[in-house]
Amino acid sequence: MSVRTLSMVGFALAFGVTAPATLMGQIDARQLRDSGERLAVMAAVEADMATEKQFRAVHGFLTADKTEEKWRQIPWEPDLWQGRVNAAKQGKPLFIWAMNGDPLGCV
Amino acid sequence: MTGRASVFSDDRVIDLLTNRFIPVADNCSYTQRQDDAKGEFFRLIAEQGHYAGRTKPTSTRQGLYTATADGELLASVNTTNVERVLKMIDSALSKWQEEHVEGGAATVSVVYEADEQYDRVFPDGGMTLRQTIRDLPRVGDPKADTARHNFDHVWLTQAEVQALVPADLTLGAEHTVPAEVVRRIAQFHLVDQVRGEAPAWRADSIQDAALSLRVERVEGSQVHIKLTGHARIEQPASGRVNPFSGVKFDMDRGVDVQFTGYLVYDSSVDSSDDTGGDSGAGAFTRFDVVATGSRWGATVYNFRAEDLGPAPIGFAFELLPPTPANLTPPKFVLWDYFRDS
Repeated sequence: MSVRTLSMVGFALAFGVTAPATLMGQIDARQLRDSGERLAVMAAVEADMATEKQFRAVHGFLTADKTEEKWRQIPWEPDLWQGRVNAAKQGKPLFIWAMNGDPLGCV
Repeated sequence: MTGRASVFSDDRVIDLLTNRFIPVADNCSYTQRQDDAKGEFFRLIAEQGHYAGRTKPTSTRQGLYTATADGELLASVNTTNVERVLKMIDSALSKWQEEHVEGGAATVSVVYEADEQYDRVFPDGGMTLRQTIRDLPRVGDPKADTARHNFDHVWLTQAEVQALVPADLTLGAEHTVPAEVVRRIAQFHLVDQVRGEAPAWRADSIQDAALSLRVERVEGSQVHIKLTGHARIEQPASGRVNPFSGVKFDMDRGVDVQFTGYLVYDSSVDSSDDTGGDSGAGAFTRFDVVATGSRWGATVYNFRAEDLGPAPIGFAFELLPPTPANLTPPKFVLWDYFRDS
């Protein structure tokens, strides 16, 4: 068993099903779900994503979940000039999110 | 990027921006400099706002602005505090109600002559991928933050997409990804942007990088392809120092990652479908790729000075339909992004 695997076992003991009740009480459901996902991701990376299931675990972990994508519910116009045209046509004010970098991409 | 979670994921803000405003998200690094009508319009608004006239410590005009289509500022602020943003919105709507709701809207020409220096047009027939960058869990450190993440977009030209389609559909047939595509992904998309901005790599910092494609199976019109590869990039510190803060611009840094990906190319998909690779008959319908490994070092704005690593990082890529928001340009598109075009 490698040092990394031993560490993963330690992680499982700390946050997994064998954790003491007092510790379990301090961990909310989100943390538990995340800890399980983290274990699966670490195992998949350690195994070089040998199976497509392992690949999906890592890809799913890295990409944003629904909560993290909530800001995309706003119908952002990615071009200021087109936004100005739309504001004039619709008789609405502009709300401009200006960043050094594209707010809808890398900032 | 903090504002995505703290401000723009708030239900009150989502409702107000969706129903009461035309919400715009644009890159002020360009709009505050570009020599055209769009740049002039942004500067007109920004110079009435919170950073008007500022030159130190930077000349940035980042922030949140509300304005009329004529360019009159209603209110502005630069914060990631949602309550302060709501207060600004309330002030803007009050002013709008009082002074503009009955007024005639500006007439704005749709077409203007854009400053070519900042022209960032998606290549005809090309393909866009969303990239997500995030720290991977750390063995032995279960509390290590993996919540912070950042995005970027990858653009490929029509010819580059076609070069990824296997000519030989024999099971197990392999071919390499063109060097220019590998160079672009390594130089511009394997950058640690998880906590904040970092500059792209110099091309000569790429020590080793290669990607290959293998035909896994063929099901009717669908070709299932597995992508594998690796990249190692190392770059010594530039020695540059921020003239205002005295902080070093960067340190020795690098990444070392392995690629795995699953792609599906469907020769029956019409080019007008919402898929990547608008290149006539056929298109990729799946382009899921990850690069995992380690990163080390720091730059002035990526907040790694206390976390120099090496530490695990992951880069994920996925296909996107080419909607206007999804066609947000790659961060480094104005650099040496398309060498052959």
